[in-house]
Amino acid sequence: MEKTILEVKNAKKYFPMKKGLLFNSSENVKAVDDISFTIQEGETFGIVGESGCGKSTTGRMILRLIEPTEGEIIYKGENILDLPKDKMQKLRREMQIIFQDPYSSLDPRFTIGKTIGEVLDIHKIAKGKEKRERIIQLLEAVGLGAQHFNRYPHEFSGGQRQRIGIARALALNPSLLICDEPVSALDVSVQAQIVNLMQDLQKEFQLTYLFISHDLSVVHHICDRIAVMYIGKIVETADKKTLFEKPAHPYTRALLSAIPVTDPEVATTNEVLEGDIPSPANPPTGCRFHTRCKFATEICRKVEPELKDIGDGQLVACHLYE
Amino acid sequence: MTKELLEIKNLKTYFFTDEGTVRAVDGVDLELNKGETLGIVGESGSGKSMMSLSIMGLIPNPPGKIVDGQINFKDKNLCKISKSEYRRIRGNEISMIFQEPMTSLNPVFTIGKQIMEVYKHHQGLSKAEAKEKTIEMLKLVGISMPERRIHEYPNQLSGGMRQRVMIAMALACNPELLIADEPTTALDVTIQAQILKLMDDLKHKLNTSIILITHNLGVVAQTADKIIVMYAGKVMEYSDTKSIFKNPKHPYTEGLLDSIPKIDKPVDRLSAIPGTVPSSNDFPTGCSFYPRCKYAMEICKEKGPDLIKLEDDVQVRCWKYIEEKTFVSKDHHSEKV
Repeated sequence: MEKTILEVKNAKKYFPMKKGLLFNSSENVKAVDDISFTIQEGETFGIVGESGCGKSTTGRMILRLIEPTEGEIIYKGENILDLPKDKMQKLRREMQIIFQDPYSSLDPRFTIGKTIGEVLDIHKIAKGKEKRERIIQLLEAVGLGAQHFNRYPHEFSGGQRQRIGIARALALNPSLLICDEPVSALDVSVQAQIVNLMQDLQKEFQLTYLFISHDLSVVHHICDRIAVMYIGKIVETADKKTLFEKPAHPYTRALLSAIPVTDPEVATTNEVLEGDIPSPANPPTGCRFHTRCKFATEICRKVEPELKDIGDGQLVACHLYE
Repeated sequence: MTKELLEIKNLKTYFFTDEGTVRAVDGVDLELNKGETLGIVGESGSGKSMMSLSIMGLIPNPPGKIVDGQINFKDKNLCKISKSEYRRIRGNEISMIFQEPMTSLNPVFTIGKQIMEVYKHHQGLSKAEAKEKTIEMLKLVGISMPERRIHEYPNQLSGGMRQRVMIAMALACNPELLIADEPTTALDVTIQAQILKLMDDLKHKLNTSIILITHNLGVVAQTADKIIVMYAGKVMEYSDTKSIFKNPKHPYTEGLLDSIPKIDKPVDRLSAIPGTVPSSNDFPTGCSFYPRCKYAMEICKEKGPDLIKLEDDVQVRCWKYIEEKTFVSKDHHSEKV
């Protein structure tokens, strides 16, 4: 039986909005609004959505880089939100993050050796010669080498920098890696290298990935199960096959049909969504997607749909399925 | 052949920097007919954006300069005309949409004022006439309540809306050529689909020729008639859209297509192109792609191949094909290099 490594329960993150001179913060941006999901050990769980849907905030909440407003984040049976700082720091060895932008996530004044070494210092893992060996070992694991030890970030290309970011994340032997758009900033030909590397490392180190992305083709390639988010809510969760073969939520369907197809002879369905993504500061009432949904009825405008199982572990939040 | 609108011959745009000469665009030829869409595909540093700036006459000089070649637009060679003449053409007959709708609009003017400026400058319209035209144009690109929107500032609009404003501005004078440089890269997928559809609709309505520059092969597959694949300042493959996707000739095109994960054809492992895109002041000698090419031969290292014609609409720059076929560009102008 599969083991649950992470469970997110009713997590919310509200950012107070400061308005006017009085700093009246009664209004909130509901970046993440009551989401729940579980991740099994060894799987790759994907979160997809467009900008402002709260996918990055979710990733950061799991590491407590952003404190959730409400909810529980249960890692291996323990609610990490209750942990004091020192224990949390220890736990972070097991959960690491890879950031999107390989240009700004490395300190330009640190050599690569120092960047990765810093992690080992903070967690008091290794010193001196042992530390150097460990760093070189890590660099080799991501396809770099000892010759890169004393170089600075500006001497590397985007793909190489992302490799360094991955090496840094692996330094503490984590079990869970949060990957926040790890390939979005890279050139197409380099993207594939990094995706392959991540898959190899997953096998080698038995990693669990939370893969956050807006690129559905990459998500389809790498993930086992996928959650689709829209303005702070999960609208659909399913395994990859189900999600791509019989997407249930109208938003998921629209997302899938918006992927540009690399075959000029395939006629696109052209199910183009009307309108813009509403602001999360002022989300529509009822179902948040109703302003752009062609199936919207009266109930969608008033009542917020709940995630419901429609079979095969496919969860959908839509009134069409009631 | 139908009427040619734009013909570029052996265009070379070099940048003269302290670290040496950067050959951003290195001998590019292309033709564009009326009403046609040409896709230019390439990764960062391939020279695709410098191509578009060269056509627009916007290469910063110094350090950049068009050192050789011709850009024939209708009957004029754009490399030879005066600055004031260029100013009359730019924004009027040729216009451009940039990648970043956030930074290419002026934040301190309302969008109405920015679009009206185009009409006043190029068509000498009065304020009232320009306003009327602006509202009409904004309606055309799908902006609701344009009468109110013209009083808004760029920061009040979403990314997709701003890109629509950019398109409205670019199409204001009904240009014959529209250059779109990564018009959808900064946008979300559902918005990207909207903008691509809008551009396609407008193309048919206004019969504009489009040069669509992108790194995303999916974007051009559905919209372009012909495609140029660029790498390190050179055209690697020039072909009609169907053949490029069905039967890519150049190893780089093949690698690019293989490295995109495809939902309808899942694979366990992507076939990546090894190595990285060469930096623009350090292009390899010989064929610039040979260090990453799986078919690389001895000759590729020593000498760069010429662009040769394989079939009617298919041109490729690769030694793999050269022995059997006749040279295409040799006879015009490449002896000089």
